[in-house]
Amino acid sequence: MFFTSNVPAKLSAQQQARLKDWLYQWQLDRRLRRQVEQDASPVGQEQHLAHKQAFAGLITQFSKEPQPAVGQIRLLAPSLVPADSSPAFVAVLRQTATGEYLVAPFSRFQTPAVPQEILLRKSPPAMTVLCLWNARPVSSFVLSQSWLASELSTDELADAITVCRSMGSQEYFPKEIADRVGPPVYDLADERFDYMDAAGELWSEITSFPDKETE
Amino acid sequence: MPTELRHWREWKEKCDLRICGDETKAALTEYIRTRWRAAVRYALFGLHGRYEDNHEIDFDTSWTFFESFYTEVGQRKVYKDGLFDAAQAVLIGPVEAALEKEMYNHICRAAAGYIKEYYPEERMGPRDDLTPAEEEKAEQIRREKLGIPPVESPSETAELSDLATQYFNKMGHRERVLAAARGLGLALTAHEVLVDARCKHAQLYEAHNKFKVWIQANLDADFPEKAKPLGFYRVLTNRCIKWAIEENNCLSMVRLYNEKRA
Repeated sequence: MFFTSNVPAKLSAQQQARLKDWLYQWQLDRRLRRQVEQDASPVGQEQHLAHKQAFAGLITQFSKEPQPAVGQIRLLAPSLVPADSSPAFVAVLRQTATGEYLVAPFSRFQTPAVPQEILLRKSPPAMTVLCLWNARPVSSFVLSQSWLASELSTDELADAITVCRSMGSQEYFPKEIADRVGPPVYDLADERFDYMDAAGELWSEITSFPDKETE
Repeated sequence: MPTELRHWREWKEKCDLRICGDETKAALTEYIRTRWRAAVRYALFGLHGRYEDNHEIDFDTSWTFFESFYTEVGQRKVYKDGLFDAAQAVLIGPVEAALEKEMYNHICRAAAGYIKEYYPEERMGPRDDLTPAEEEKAEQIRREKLGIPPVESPSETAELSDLATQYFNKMGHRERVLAAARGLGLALTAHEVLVDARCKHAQLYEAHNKFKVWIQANLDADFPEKAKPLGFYRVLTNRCIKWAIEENNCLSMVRLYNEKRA
């Protein structure tokens, strides 16, 4: 998968264009993120409480949202994800045997970076490319801390599952899917791995979040 | 005109900025136009050394692009709930500053998409302030990123397999875990990878950097005259995946892997 089994002379023209496009977005994003980080300056607890009071009643409560279900696209609560990962839209792929939900995040970019990312839909841009390599089971309670943003079509969900199941194998994708996934990786030093490590941080808060509602 | 909490509240409550009162519309329009332009200019200067103002960044264009970046036609604008919820937790300045910071985060992400569409790399061309030598170097790096390193001839699988076994035998537990994680497409920041590697992020990154240097040095030594065998990483990571999965050395990663494959 990430290290391709074939040894082609070079990437296809389509894959080259896709990689070039992705690298441009990656550079833009890194530069813009630096500026966002420079903006921060800390305040005390008192002002933090003032923030909470100021927004009372403005934010839709999770209890008023539809229950999580397969095929939904949901926006995870900012408290579940690191600050620079927000807004984090995820697709609900299936329910596991233990009752958890397998969810995959959408990419920050509109071009798939690696073979386990697929251009699923054309719009909106924040919900176009799904990162199946970064899929993860989360509890129903964790997933309920989110807002329903949209829904995948039956075909979109089927394509996402196909790519997700290809994890680690040299499985052949049908052409209609192969044309929408990212280019293969050949080298351990490929900077797309840096991107993946950064994107993998999305789940760092969730792993310490309680699975159930606590008093 | 500085933004105030009441402007943001009205925008949230009425949903669409265009139907807000004049004062709210003026304050937020000014804020968005200024920050949008600043983000675009900052990114373009950084990447291309110039920013040509072709007046594409008027309010309507930027606002439409921004909203449609996060919202599907006909669906709810839940990004606003996320924006206000995130601002609650921002530990900076007054409430307006927290909102502006979160909004700017959203603007920057959408602005990158906007630049990709309206200022594609081909149109912007190489940076003006690069010397010919720097430009050549930049182009060389770009070519390397896009293409595949030259290969004299694909080596025999058996040879590669023997070589991978030699390397594998010299690798420690942590190196094998990270190589397997790479092969499985798992981030080194993933909780399961760290559990199996029995270390924290920073230690795994350090091990990864050392591993890359080690493997490159060994390949340089083993192949001093000719191009490196291209399929080597695949064979080596497959060996590590086998060690991780079939030989039950990475139970946490395997659980995640199986969940995705189910």
